[in-house]
Amino acid sequence: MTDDRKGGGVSTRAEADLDALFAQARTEAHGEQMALPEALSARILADADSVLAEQAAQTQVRRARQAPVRSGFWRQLLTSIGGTPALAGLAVATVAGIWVGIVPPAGLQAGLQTVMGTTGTDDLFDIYFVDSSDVFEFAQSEG
Amino acid sequence: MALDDPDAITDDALLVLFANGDPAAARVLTTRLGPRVLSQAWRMLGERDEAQDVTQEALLRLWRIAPDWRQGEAKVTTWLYRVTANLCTDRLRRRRGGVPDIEDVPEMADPVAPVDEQMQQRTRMDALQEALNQLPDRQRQAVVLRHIEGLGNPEIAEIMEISTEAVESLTARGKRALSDHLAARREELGYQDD
Repeated sequence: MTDDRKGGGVSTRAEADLDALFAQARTEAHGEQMALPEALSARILADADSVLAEQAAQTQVRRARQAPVRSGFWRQLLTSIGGTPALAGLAVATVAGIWVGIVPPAGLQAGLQTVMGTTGTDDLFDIYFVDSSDVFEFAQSEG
Repeated sequence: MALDDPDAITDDALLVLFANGDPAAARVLTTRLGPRVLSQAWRMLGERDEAQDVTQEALLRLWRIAPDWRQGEAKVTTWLYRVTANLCTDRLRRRRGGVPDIEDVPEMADPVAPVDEQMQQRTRMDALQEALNQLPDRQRQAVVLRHIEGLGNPEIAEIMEISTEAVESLTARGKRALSDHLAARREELGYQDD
């Protein structure tokens, strides 16, 4: 760059003028005169409120998504027996058991007669459910 | 959290408070940082309304980044000066070729000074702004940050993402160009030859 000034710098006088201008500009920039106009402050703070509201809403959504699944007694029990499929199997077995208890199939009765040596339904129910006879008598009947 | 003594709280800490949902922190940050942003934008753009829009936009970006702000990694002011500089540069690029409106040159006279002195100060400030408007964007940015905002070269280097030597070069060339612009108006500006 061509410059007739020594070292390419501005002359002392011009430099002093410029420095004085900078000093004045600096004073004004950092003084009360550069305080934000009220309307601008209001706009800026309205933006801040909107951002806070936005972020609060996002946080709520995130928390809802990340909320841990409640792990109560019944859920733990279900998990321990193998989950929902196991529960379905258990339900079927329970219904089948109740049905067999109420209306025992003929084959089952015959088999029981053979094994247990009894023919009466009452005896069968005695065997199935509550043994109301004396333990000693039962032992005798068995021989 | 109550901000009983906001001056004792760093910009970083205020930003964290804001990110935690404290609107009072935004008020303190706006009062503290807003004027600096406005001053920088005003000097960069030479236009009041645009400078205010840039100030609003820069602070909006600050609010948005608050939740991700990592304390101690960067100064909030440095980050804000950089955002402001970039926003100003974008606007200057958009209006490239346009001539700044003299009516919009900042009016910042000292209200307690005598009228003729006020007028002279205003004329000088207007002349400085007009001369700044003639500088290339990067030179103007460096000169404003160095000589009006009073930042050190390392911080300016960080803001402009250039080396300290490049900052020195830009400010030196900027000052020289400003001096040339103003030299022709010395008499008009009331400077007396020694």
